[in-house]
Amino acid sequence: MTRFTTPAALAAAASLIASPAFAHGFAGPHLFVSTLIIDDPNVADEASLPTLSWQPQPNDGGPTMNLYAAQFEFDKRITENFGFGINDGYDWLTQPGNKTANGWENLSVTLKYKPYVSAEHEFMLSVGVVENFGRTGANGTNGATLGNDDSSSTVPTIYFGKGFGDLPIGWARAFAITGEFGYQIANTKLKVIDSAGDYNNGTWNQWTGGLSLQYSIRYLSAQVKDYGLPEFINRLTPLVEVSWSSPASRPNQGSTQYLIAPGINYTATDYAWGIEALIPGNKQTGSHVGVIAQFHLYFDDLFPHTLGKPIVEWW
Amino acid sequence: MRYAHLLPLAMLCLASPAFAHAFLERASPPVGSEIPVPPAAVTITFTEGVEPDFSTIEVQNAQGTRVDKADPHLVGGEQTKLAVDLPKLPPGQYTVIWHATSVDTHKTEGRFTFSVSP
Repeated sequence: MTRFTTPAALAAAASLIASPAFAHGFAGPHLFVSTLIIDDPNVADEASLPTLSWQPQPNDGGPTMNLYAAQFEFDKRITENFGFGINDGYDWLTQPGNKTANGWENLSVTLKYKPYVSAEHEFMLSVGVVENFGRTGANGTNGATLGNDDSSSTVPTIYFGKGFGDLPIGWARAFAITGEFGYQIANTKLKVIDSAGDYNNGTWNQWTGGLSLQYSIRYLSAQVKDYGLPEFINRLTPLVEVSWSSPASRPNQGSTQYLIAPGINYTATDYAWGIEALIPGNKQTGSHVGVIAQFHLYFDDLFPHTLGKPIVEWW
Repeated sequence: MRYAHLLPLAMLCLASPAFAHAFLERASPPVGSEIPVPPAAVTITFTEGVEPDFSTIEVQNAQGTRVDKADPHLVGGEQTKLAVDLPKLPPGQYTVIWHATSVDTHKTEGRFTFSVSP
């Protein structure tokens, strides 16, 4: 069996969906639903169990590689507006004629604080920091094939959500936008270490970010006009997400990448599910459409007196 | 730490029964409706039970003046149906502003309009 040659873009392409901490939250009457490829602005007690994805990878003319991932996340509030999230996952990378590479992703931990919510203007703002721990997942050649960084990185991030309830146009008030913007700081900088041009095991700084545009049918029915739709329809939120990353330091082995993910979310009282297409935004991100799906649990609704309340309120 | 994602599964076995946020499921008069006869009350049906002592419905006229009888109460003892009585309303547009506290203390809120036609 020949081994995979790791495309330089693979790590970055996979990372476009590898590090979110999915959550949900209200800003006044507007509920920001759980998003699949970006993090949302809320601090909550939730879990994504699991998030499954299939993402064909960019290649250089050979058979298409397919990355399958089963990811997990657990979010927990420490105080009302401060909490943490833990992300991990298991990946399988297949290519016809080659042995499947598989292994754990690197562990990510997010600390997030939500200092501001305006119910009147349906606005929420949060700040956080994501730590991606190098060598906590598959490492060595296998880890490199899967796109796991060999060193850690830190990502200060700002998050926001804004409902369009201020608009004078009734049907448009059901729209909301959420987003995140971060700067990934490599803990070990990538650099050439010898005259042959070999690199150390470092990484490079990156700009990262994403946006989601959501249309809440529940908001439409409960706030604007009740069209008598079945409750199942009222629980749906069509949405489109976009995430991107772009190298911000030299040398680097990355490229600017975009991932576009249109899909649908179904939010019940204590759980949600969502499914979205994964559409590469440029050649560096890929040439084939993938798919991502998630089952999401709201612990604050499921277990309001135990797991669903902040840790400081446990005693 | 790699197996921290198993914690929720463990907690699932230990936790208490589920309640949830109370969403507006239906309202009477319907959200955004225009009705020919003034309603005697505004009734909201929620997806979950609410605590009437900690839940409110306020009806304002187009000038922002409160016009309801400020008597939020459950309908027929059903914990998912909260109502507030109204005097005979003249034609015009009215705004309903509600705040609900579900039986597990989660808070939700919303507002909508309805119109009484001349």
